[in-house]
Amino acid sequence: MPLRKLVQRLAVPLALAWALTGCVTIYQPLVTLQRPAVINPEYNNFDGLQLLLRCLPTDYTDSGDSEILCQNLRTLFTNQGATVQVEVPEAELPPAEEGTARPDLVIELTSKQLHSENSALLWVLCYASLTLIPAVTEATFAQDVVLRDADGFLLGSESLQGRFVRYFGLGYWGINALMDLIVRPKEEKLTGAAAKTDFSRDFYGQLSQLAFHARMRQLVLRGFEAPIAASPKPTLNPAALPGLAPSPTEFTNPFAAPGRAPK
Amino acid sequence: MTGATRLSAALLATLASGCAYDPAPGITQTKAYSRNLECDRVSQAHAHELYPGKVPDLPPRGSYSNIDALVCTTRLAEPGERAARDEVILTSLRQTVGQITRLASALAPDQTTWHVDAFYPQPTVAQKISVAARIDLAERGHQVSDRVPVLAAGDIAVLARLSAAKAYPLACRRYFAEKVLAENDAFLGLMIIDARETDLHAGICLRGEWKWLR
Repeated sequence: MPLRKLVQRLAVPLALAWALTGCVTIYQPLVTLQRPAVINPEYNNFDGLQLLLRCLPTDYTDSGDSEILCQNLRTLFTNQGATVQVEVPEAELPPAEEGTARPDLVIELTSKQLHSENSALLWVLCYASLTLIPAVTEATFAQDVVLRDADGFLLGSESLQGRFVRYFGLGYWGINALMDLIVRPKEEKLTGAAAKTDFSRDFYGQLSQLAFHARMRQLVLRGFEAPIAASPKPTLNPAALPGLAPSPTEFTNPFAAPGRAPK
Repeated sequence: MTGATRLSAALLATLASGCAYDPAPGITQTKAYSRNLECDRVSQAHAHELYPGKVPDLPPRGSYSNIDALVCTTRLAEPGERAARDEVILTSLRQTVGQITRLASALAPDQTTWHVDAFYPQPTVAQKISVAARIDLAERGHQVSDRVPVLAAGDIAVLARLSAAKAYPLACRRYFAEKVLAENDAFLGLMIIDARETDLHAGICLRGEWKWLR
Protein backbone atom coordinates (compact mmCIF):
# COMPACT_ATOMS: atom_id res chain seq x y z
CA MET A 1 0.00 0.00 0.00
CA PRO A 2 1.51 3.35 -0.92
CA LEU A 3 2.47 5.49 2.01
CA ARG A 4 0.15 8.30 0.99
CA LYS A 5 -2.91 6.04 1.12
CA LEU A 6 -1.84 4.61 4.46
CA VAL A 7 -1.48 8.11 5.90
CA GLN A 8 -4.91 9.06 4.51
CA ARG A 9 -6.50 5.99 6.11
CA LEU A 10 -4.85 6.52 9.48
CA ALA A 11 -5.25 10.28 9.59
CA VAL A 12 -8.83 10.30 10.88
CA PRO A 13 -8.45 7.67 13.62
CA LEU A 14 -5.18 9.22 14.75
CA ALA A 15 -6.68 12.70 14.84
CA LEU A 16 -9.66 11.31 16.73
CA ALA A 17 -7.39 9.57 19.20
CA TRP A 18 -5.43 12.79 19.74
CA ALA A 19 -8.60 14.77 20.18
CA LEU A 20 -10.04 12.36 22.73
CA THR A 21 -6.93 11.42 24.62
CA GLY A 22 -5.99 12.80 28.00
CA CYS A 23 -3.17 13.01 30.47
CA VAL A 24 -3.22 11.90 34.07
CA THR A 25 -0.38 13.25 36.20
CA ILE A 26 0.15 11.39 39.43
CA TYR A 27 2.15 12.75 42.34
CA GLN A 28 3.78 10.50 44.87
CA PRO A 29 5.67 11.93 47.86
CA LEU A 30 8.81 9.88 48.49
CA VAL A 31 10.83 11.39 51.33
CA THR A 32 9.65 13.89 53.97
CA LEU A 33 6.88 15.39 51.81
CA GLN A 34 4.27 12.96 53.17
CA ARG A 35 5.21 13.68 56.78
CA PRO A 36 2.30 15.24 58.67
CA ALA A 37 2.65 18.99 59.22
CA VAL A 38 1.35 20.44 62.46
CA ILE A 39 1.79 24.08 61.57
CA ASN A 40 -1.08 25.78 59.74
CA PRO A 41 0.26 28.03 56.95
CA GLU A 42 -2.89 30.12 57.20
CA TYR A 43 -1.87 31.45 60.61
CA ASN A 44 0.44 34.27 61.62
CA ASN A 45 3.38 31.97 62.44
CA PHE A 46 6.28 34.27 61.55
CA ASP A 47 5.11 37.61 62.84
CA GLY A 48 7.92 40.18 62.55
CA LEU A 49 10.42 37.73 61.06
CA GLN A 50 12.84 39.10 58.44
CA LEU A 51 13.23 36.29 55.95
CA LEU A 52 15.57 36.00 52.98
CA LEU A 53 14.59 33.43 50.35
CA ARG A 54 17.37 32.35 48.05
CA CYS A 55 16.29 30.16 45.11
CA LEU A 56 19.37 28.86 43.34
CA PRO A 57 19.08 27.89 39.67
CA THR A 58 20.49 24.48 38.73
CA ASP A 59 20.63 22.26 35.64
CA TYR A 60 17.06 21.22 36.47
CA THR A 61 15.58 24.66 37.12
CA ASP A 62 16.65 27.80 35.28
CA SER A 63 16.50 31.29 36.77
CA GLY A 64 12.93 31.76 35.48
CA ASP A 65 11.65 28.68 37.34
CA SER A 66 13.61 29.65 40.44
CA GLU A 67 12.08 33.11 40.32
CA ILE A 68 8.55 31.68 40.12
CA LEU A 69 9.31 29.35 43.06
CA CYS A 70 10.67 32.21 45.14
CA GLN A 71 7.69 34.45 44.33
CA ASN A 72 5.26 31.71 45.38
CA LEU A 73 7.15 31.18 48.60
CA ARG A 74 7.26 34.91 49.22
CA THR A 75 3.45 34.85 49.20
CA LEU A 76 3.42 31.82 51.51
CA PHE A 77 5.63 33.43 54.16
CA THR A 78 4.23 36.96 53.76
CA ASN A 79 0.78 35.53 54.51
CA GLN A 80 2.23 34.11 57.72
CA GLY A 81 3.48 37.50 58.87
CA ALA A 82 7.11 37.48 57.69
CA THR A 83 8.82 40.28 55.79
CA VAL A 84 10.34 38.49 52.83
CA GLN A 85 13.24 39.39 50.58
CA VAL A 86 13.90 37.29 47.50
CA GLU A 87 17.25 36.56 45.92
CA VAL A 88 17.61 34.63 42.67
CA PRO A 89 21.07 34.68 41.11
CA GLU A 90 21.00 35.54 37.37
CA ALA A 91 17.37 36.66 37.54
CA GLU A 92 16.27 40.18 36.66
CA LEU A 93 14.67 40.99 39.98
CA PRO A 94 14.49 44.59 41.22
CA PRO A 95 17.47 45.33 43.49
CA ALA A 96 16.91 45.25 47.22
CA GLU A 97 15.84 48.56 48.71
CA GLU A 98 18.38 50.69 50.54
CA GLY A 99 18.44 50.04 54.27
CA THR A 100 16.82 46.61 54.01
CA ALA A 101 16.85 44.91 57.41
CA ARG A 102 19.32 42.12 58.14
CA PRO A 103 17.47 38.80 57.75
CA ASP A 104 16.72 36.71 60.82
CA LEU A 105 16.48 33.59 58.73
CA VAL A 106 17.88 32.62 55.32
CA ILE A 107 16.26 29.79 53.35
CA GLU A 108 18.21 28.39 50.42
CA LEU A 109 16.40 26.17 47.93
CA THR A 110 18.00 23.99 45.27
CA SER A 111 16.15 21.64 42.97
CA LYS A 112 17.58 18.63 41.26
CA GLN A 113 16.26 15.80 39.16
CA LEU A 114 17.15 12.40 40.59
CA HIS A 115 15.67 10.25 37.86
CA SER A 116 13.65 10.52 34.69
CA GLU A 117 12.14 7.91 32.44
CA ASN A 118 10.49 8.19 29.05
CA SER A 119 10.29 4.94 27.13
CA ALA A 120 10.21 5.24 23.33
CA LEU A 121 8.76 1.71 23.13
CA LEU A 122 5.76 2.72 25.24
CA TRP A 123 5.12 5.71 22.97
CA VAL A 124 5.14 3.42 19.92
CA LEU A 125 2.73 1.02 21.65
CA CYS A 126 0.60 3.96 22.74
CA TYR A 127 0.15 5.25 19.19
CA ALA A 128 -0.18 1.76 17.75
CA SER A 129 -3.07 1.07 20.13
CA LEU A 130 -4.67 4.45 19.44
CA THR A 131 -3.57 5.55 22.94
CA LEU A 132 -5.37 2.68 24.68
CA ILE A 133 -2.02 1.65 26.13
CA PRO A 134 -0.69 4.63 28.05
CA ALA A 135 2.71 6.18 27.44
CA VAL A 136 4.36 6.73 30.79
CA THR A 137 6.85 9.47 31.60
CA GLU A 138 8.28 9.81 35.06
CA ALA A 139 10.43 12.29 36.92
CA THR A 140 11.81 12.03 40.45
CA PHE A 141 12.99 15.29 41.97
CA ALA A 142 14.61 16.52 45.17
CA GLN A 143 14.10 19.95 46.64
CA ASP A 144 16.98 20.60 49.00
CA VAL A 145 16.29 23.16 51.70
CA VAL A 146 18.99 24.69 53.90
CA LEU A 147 18.07 27.07 56.70
CA ARG A 148 20.65 29.41 58.27
CA ASP A 149 20.76 32.53 60.35
CA ALA A 150 22.23 35.77 59.00
CA ASP A 151 25.74 34.73 60.11
CA GLY A 152 25.54 31.47 58.18
CA PHE A 153 24.97 29.25 61.23
CA LEU A 154 23.16 26.11 60.10
CA LEU A 155 19.73 25.81 61.71
CA GLY A 156 18.37 22.93 59.67
CA SER A 157 18.42 21.15 56.34
CA GLU A 158 16.15 18.72 54.58
CA SER A 159 15.75 17.07 51.23
CA LEU A 160 12.12 16.86 50.10
CA GLN A 161 11.70 14.18 47.47
CA GLY A 162 8.81 13.19 45.29
CA ARG A 163 7.93 11.92 41.86
CA PHE A 164 5.49 12.80 39.12
CA VAL A 165 4.27 10.04 36.82
CA ARG A 166 2.39 11.16 33.72
CA TYR A 167 0.17 8.73 31.85
CA PHE A 168 -0.77 9.77 28.34
CA GLY A 169 -3.62 7.87 26.75
CA LEU A 170 -7.34 7.66 26.30
CA GLY A 171 -7.65 4.31 28.06
CA TYR A 172 -5.92 5.26 31.29
CA TRP A 173 -7.47 8.69 31.41
CA GLY A 174 -10.95 7.30 30.71
CA ILE A 175 -10.76 4.66 33.45
CA ASN A 176 -9.50 7.19 36.01
CA ALA A 177 -12.00 9.85 35.01
CA LEU A 178 -14.80 7.32 35.46
CA MET A 179 -13.42 6.14 38.81
CA ASP A 180 -13.10 9.75 39.99
CA LEU A 181 -16.67 10.36 38.95
CA ILE A 182 -18.21 7.22 40.43
CA VAL A 183 -15.98 5.46 42.96
CA ARG A 184 -13.31 7.68 44.50
CA PRO A 185 -13.93 10.12 47.34
CA LYS A 186 -12.80 13.71 46.76
CA GLU A 187 -9.41 13.35 48.47
CA GLU A 188 -8.57 10.28 46.39
CA LYS A 189 -9.24 11.79 42.94
CA LEU A 190 -6.39 11.53 40.46
CA THR A 191 -7.44 13.47 37.36
CA GLY A 192 -7.58 17.22 36.85
CA ALA A 193 -5.36 19.37 39.07
CA ALA A 194 -5.18 16.80 41.90
CA ALA A 195 -1.41 16.27 41.58
CA LYS A 196 -0.70 19.99 41.64
CA THR A 197 -2.97 20.58 44.63
CA ASP A 198 -1.53 17.67 46.62
CA PHE A 199 2.05 18.68 45.92
CA SER A 200 1.42 22.33 46.84
CA ARG A 201 -0.20 21.31 50.13
CA ASP A 202 2.71 19.00 51.04
CA PHE A 203 5.46 21.33 49.88
CA TYR A 204 4.13 24.51 51.49
CA GLY A 205 3.24 22.65 54.68
CA GLN A 206 6.70 21.12 55.03
CA LEU A 207 8.51 24.36 54.18
CA SER A 208 6.49 26.27 56.76
CA GLN A 209 7.22 23.56 59.32
CA LEU A 210 10.95 23.57 58.55
CA ALA A 211 11.12 27.36 58.76
CA PHE A 212 9.28 27.29 62.08
CA HIS A 213 11.68 24.69 63.50
CA ALA A 214 14.64 26.77 62.38
CA ARG A 215 13.11 29.87 63.96
CA MET A 216 12.51 28.06 67.25
CA ARG A 217 15.98 26.54 67.27
CA GLN A 218 17.46 29.96 66.68
CA LEU A 219 15.49 31.41 69.57
CA VAL A 220 16.45 28.58 71.92
CA LEU A 221 20.14 28.77 71.08
CA ARG A 222 20.10 32.53 71.55
CA GLY A 223 18.48 32.13 74.94
CA PHE A 224 15.02 33.33 73.82
CA GLU A 225 16.19 36.84 72.95
CA ALA A 226 13.41 37.70 70.52
CA PRO A 227 9.74 37.05 71.27
CA ILE A 228 7.79 34.64 69.12
CA ALA A 229 4.17 34.89 68.05
CA ALA A 230 2.64 33.34 71.15
CA SER A 231 -1.00 33.50 70.15
CA PRO A 232 -1.28 32.99 66.40
CA LYS A 233 -4.16 34.72 64.70
CA PRO A 234 -5.57 33.63 61.34
CA THR A 235 -4.47 35.90 58.52
CA LEU A 236 -6.19 34.11 55.66
CA ASN A 237 -9.34 32.21 54.97
CA PRO A 238 -9.85 30.15 58.15
CA ALA A 239 -10.87 27.07 56.18
CA ALA A 240 -7.98 24.83 57.23
CA LEU A 241 -6.10 22.71 54.73
CA PRO A 242 -6.56 18.98 55.25
CA GLY A 243 -3.94 17.50 57.54
CA LEU A 244 -2.80 20.88 58.82
CA ALA A 245 -4.94 21.21 61.89
CA PRO A 246 -3.77 24.00 64.21
CA SER A 247 -3.19 23.18 67.84
CA PRO A 248 -1.61 26.33 69.29
CA THR A 249 -3.55 26.44 72.52
CA GLU A 250 -3.15 22.91 73.86
CA PHE A 251 0.44 23.42 75.03
CA THR A 252 1.03 24.45 78.62
CA ASN A 253 4.01 25.06 80.84
CA PRO A 254 5.95 21.76 81.04
CA PHE A 255 6.15 21.92 84.83
CA ALA A 256 2.39 22.39 85.07
CA ALA A 257 1.66 19.31 82.93
CA PRO A 258 -0.04 16.28 84.49
CA GLY A 259 2.38 13.90 86.14
CA ARG A 260 4.76 16.71 87.12
CA ALA A 261 3.54 16.96 90.66
CA PRO A 262 6.06 15.92 93.31
CA LYS A 263 5.84 12.30 94.31
CA MET B 1 -6.30 -19.00 22.98
CA THR B 2 -5.26 -17.42 19.69
CA GLY B 3 -2.29 -15.09 19.40
CA ALA B 4 -4.52 -12.04 18.97
CA THR B 5 -6.56 -12.90 22.06
CA ARG B 6 -3.41 -13.45 24.11
CA LEU B 7 -2.04 -10.11 22.97
CA SER B 8 -5.31 -8.36 23.83
CA ALA B 9 -5.30 -9.95 27.27
CA ALA B 10 -1.73 -8.82 27.86
CA LEU B 11 -2.51 -5.33 26.66
CA LEU B 12 -5.60 -5.12 28.85
CA ALA B 13 -3.59 -6.33 31.83
CA THR B 14 -0.97 -3.66 31.16
CA LEU B 15 -3.69 -1.08 30.74
CA ALA B 16 -5.43 -2.08 33.92
CA SER B 17 -2.32 -2.20 36.05
CA GLY B 18 -0.77 0.99 34.67
CA CYS B 19 2.78 0.11 35.57
CA ALA B 20 3.59 -3.13 37.36
CA TYR B 21 4.87 -2.84 40.96
CA ASP B 22 4.68 0.92 40.85
CA PRO B 23 4.02 2.29 44.34
CA ALA B 24 2.41 5.46 42.95
CA PRO B 25 -1.35 5.85 43.37
CA GLY B 26 -3.31 4.54 40.41
CA ILE B 27 -6.17 2.31 39.38
CA THR B 28 -5.41 -0.36 41.97
CA GLN B 29 -3.74 1.73 44.68
CA THR B 30 -5.11 4.58 46.71
CA LYS B 31 -3.34 7.80 47.60
CA ALA B 32 -3.62 6.90 51.28
CA TYR B 33 -1.73 3.64 50.70
CA SER B 34 0.93 5.42 48.70
CA ARG B 35 1.39 8.18 51.29
CA ASN B 36 2.01 5.55 53.94
CA LEU B 37 5.18 4.47 52.16
CA GLU B 38 8.62 5.92 52.71
CA CYS B 39 10.50 5.39 49.43
CA ASP B 40 14.09 5.79 48.42
CA ARG B 41 15.49 5.61 44.90
CA VAL B 42 18.59 3.40 44.72
CA SER B 43 20.76 1.98 41.94
CA GLN B 44 20.14 -1.52 40.62
CA ALA B 45 23.41 -2.75 42.17
CA HIS B 46 22.43 -1.46 45.60
CA ALA B 47 18.87 -2.77 45.24
CA HIS B 48 20.30 -6.19 44.39
CA GLU B 49 22.48 -6.10 47.53
CA LEU B 50 19.40 -5.30 49.63
CA TYR B 51 16.94 -7.64 47.92
CA PRO B 52 18.89 -10.28 45.96
CA GLY B 53 15.79 -12.43 45.47
CA LYS B 54 13.72 -9.64 43.96
CA VAL B 55 16.17 -7.47 42.03
CA PRO B 56 18.53 -9.16 39.54
CA ASP B 57 22.22 -8.35 39.58
CA LEU B 58 23.74 -6.08 36.93
CA PRO B 59 24.53 -7.94 33.69
CA PRO B 60 28.24 -8.88 33.62
CA ARG B 61 28.79 -7.04 30.35
CA GLY B 62 27.02 -3.90 31.49
CA SER B 63 23.77 -2.43 30.28
CA TYR B 64 22.75 0.15 27.70
CA SER B 65 20.15 1.64 29.97
CA ASN B 66 20.55 3.03 33.46
CA ILE B 67 18.18 1.04 35.68
CA ASP B 68 17.36 1.88 39.27
CA ALA B 69 14.77 0.85 41.82
CA LEU B 70 12.38 2.44 44.27
CA VAL B 71 12.75 0.78 47.66
CA CYS B 72 9.68 1.44 49.77
CA THR B 73 8.89 0.58 53.37
CA THR B 74 5.48 0.84 54.97
CA ARG B 75 5.27 3.01 58.05
CA LEU B 76 4.42 1.29 61.31
CA ALA B 77 1.24 3.19 62.13
CA GLU B 78 -1.62 3.64 59.70
CA PRO B 79 -2.37 7.23 58.64
CA GLY B 80 -4.53 8.98 61.22
CA GLU B 81 -3.83 6.38 63.91
CA ARG B 82 -1.64 8.77 65.91
CA ALA B 83 -1.84 12.54 66.28
CA ALA B 84 0.22 14.35 63.61
CA ARG B 85 2.87 15.66 66.02
CA ASP B 86 3.24 12.32 67.82
CA GLU B 87 3.60 10.59 64.47
CA VAL B 88 6.45 12.85 63.33
CA ILE B 89 8.23 12.74 66.69
CA LEU B 90 7.97 8.97 67.04
CA THR B 91 8.87 8.21 63.42
CA SER B 92 12.22 9.99 63.72
CA LEU B 93 12.75 9.37 67.45
CA ARG B 94 15.83 7.17 67.17
CA GLN B 95 17.60 9.63 64.89
CA THR B 96 16.66 12.69 66.95
CA VAL B 97 17.55 11.11 70.26
CA GLY B 98 20.86 9.89 68.80
CA GLN B 99 21.79 13.45 67.79
CA ILE B 100 20.83 14.82 71.21
CA THR B 101 22.68 12.22 73.29
CA ARG B 102 25.79 12.63 71.13
CA LEU B 103 25.79 16.36 71.88
CA ALA B 104 24.99 15.83 75.55
CA SER B 105 27.57 13.14 76.24
CA ALA B 106 30.31 15.37 74.86
CA LEU B 107 29.59 17.97 77.56
CA ALA B 108 29.77 15.80 80.67
CA PRO B 109 32.71 13.84 82.20
CA ASP B 110 32.78 10.07 81.68
CA GLN B 111 31.82 9.19 85.28
CA THR B 112 28.59 11.17 85.13
CA THR B 113 25.32 9.50 86.08
CA TRP B 114 22.59 10.56 83.68
CA HIS B 115 19.00 11.36 84.59
CA VAL B 116 16.57 11.84 81.74
CA ASP B 117 13.09 13.28 81.49
CA ALA B 118 10.88 14.42 78.62
CA PHE B 119 8.45 17.35 78.73
CA TYR B 120 5.74 16.60 76.22
CA PRO B 121 1.97 17.15 76.41
CA GLN B 122 1.09 13.44 76.02
CA PRO B 123 2.50 11.42 78.95
CA THR B 124 2.68 8.17 76.95
CA VAL B 125 4.77 9.81 74.23
CA ALA B 126 6.90 11.60 76.87
CA GLN B 127 7.60 8.19 78.39
CA LYS B 128 8.70 6.79 75.02
CA ILE B 129 11.01 9.77 74.44
CA SER B 130 12.73 9.48 77.81
CA VAL B 131 13.12 5.70 77.53
CA ALA B 132 14.64 6.11 74.05
CA ALA B 133 17.13 8.67 75.38
CA ARG B 134 18.08 6.47 78.35
CA ILE B 135 18.67 3.49 76.08
CA ASP B 136 20.76 5.55 73.69
CA LEU B 137 22.90 6.93 76.52
CA ALA B 138 23.36 3.41 77.94
CA GLU B 139 24.35 2.14 74.49
CA ARG B 140 27.03 4.83 74.41
CA GLY B 141 28.47 3.34 77.60
CA HIS B 142 27.17 5.90 80.11
CA GLN B 143 25.75 5.25 83.54
CA VAL B 144 22.03 5.95 83.39
CA SER B 145 19.62 6.26 86.30
CA ASP B 146 15.94 5.33 86.20
CA ARG B 147 15.21 7.99 88.81
CA VAL B 148 13.57 11.17 87.57
CA PRO B 149 14.60 14.22 89.62
CA VAL B 150 11.56 15.75 91.30
CA LEU B 151 11.23 19.12 93.04
CA ALA B 152 9.09 20.17 95.97
CA ALA B 153 5.52 21.35 95.50
CA GLY B 154 6.48 24.97 96.15
CA ASP B 155 9.11 24.87 93.41
CA ILE B 156 6.68 23.31 90.95
CA ALA B 157 4.11 26.01 91.74
CA VAL B 158 6.63 28.73 90.89
CA LEU B 159 8.02 26.97 87.80
CA ALA B 160 4.53 26.39 86.41
CA ARG B 161 4.04 30.15 86.12
CA LEU B 162 7.27 30.80 84.22
CA SER B 163 8.02 30.66 80.51
CA ALA B 164 10.19 27.84 79.18
CA ALA B 165 13.11 30.26 78.85
CA LYS B 166 13.15 30.86 82.62
CA ALA B 167 11.61 27.63 83.93
CA TYR B 168 14.31 25.18 82.81
CA PRO B 169 17.35 27.15 84.10
CA LEU B 170 15.57 27.79 87.41
CA ALA B 171 14.55 24.14 87.77
CA CYS B 172 18.17 23.17 87.13
CA ARG B 173 19.40 25.51 89.89
CA ARG B 174 16.80 24.12 92.27
CA TYR B 175 17.74 20.49 91.46
CA PHE B 176 21.30 21.28 92.48
CA ALA B 177 20.42 23.44 95.50
CA GLU B 178 18.02 20.82 96.85
CA LYS B 179 20.65 18.11 96.25
CA VAL B 180 18.27 16.23 93.97
CA LEU B 181 21.22 16.19 91.59
CA ALA B 182 24.79 15.78 92.91
CA GLU B 183 28.15 16.87 91.48
CA ASN B 184 28.46 13.74 89.36
CA ASP B 185 24.89 13.83 88.11
CA ALA B 186 23.67 15.30 84.85
CA PHE B 187 20.08 15.86 83.85
CA LEU B 188 19.06 15.66 80.20
CA GLY B 189 15.71 17.23 79.37
CA LEU B 190 13.96 16.71 76.04
CA MET B 191 11.01 18.90 75.23
CA ILE B 192 8.65 20.66 72.86
CA ILE B 193 8.45 24.39 73.50
CA ASP B 194 5.72 25.44 71.08
CA ALA B 195 2.68 23.38 70.10
CA ARG B 196 3.40 24.05 66.40
CA GLU B 197 6.72 22.19 66.54
CA THR B 198 7.43 18.60 65.55
CA ASP B 199 11.10 18.72 66.47
CA LEU B 200 12.46 18.08 69.96
CA HIS B 201 14.62 20.57 71.83
CA ALA B 202 17.05 19.48 74.48
CA GLY B 203 18.99 20.94 77.37
CA ILE B 204 21.42 19.64 79.92
CA CYS B 205 21.69 20.50 83.61
CA LEU B 206 25.17 20.08 84.99
CA ARG B 207 26.24 21.36 88.43
CA GLY B 208 23.27 23.69 88.62
CA GLU B 209 23.84 25.23 85.21
CA TRP B 210 21.35 24.78 82.40
CA LYS B 211 22.60 24.67 78.81
CA TRP B 212 20.41 24.41 75.73
CA LEU B 213 21.71 21.85 73.26
CA ARG B 214 19.26 22.47 70.39
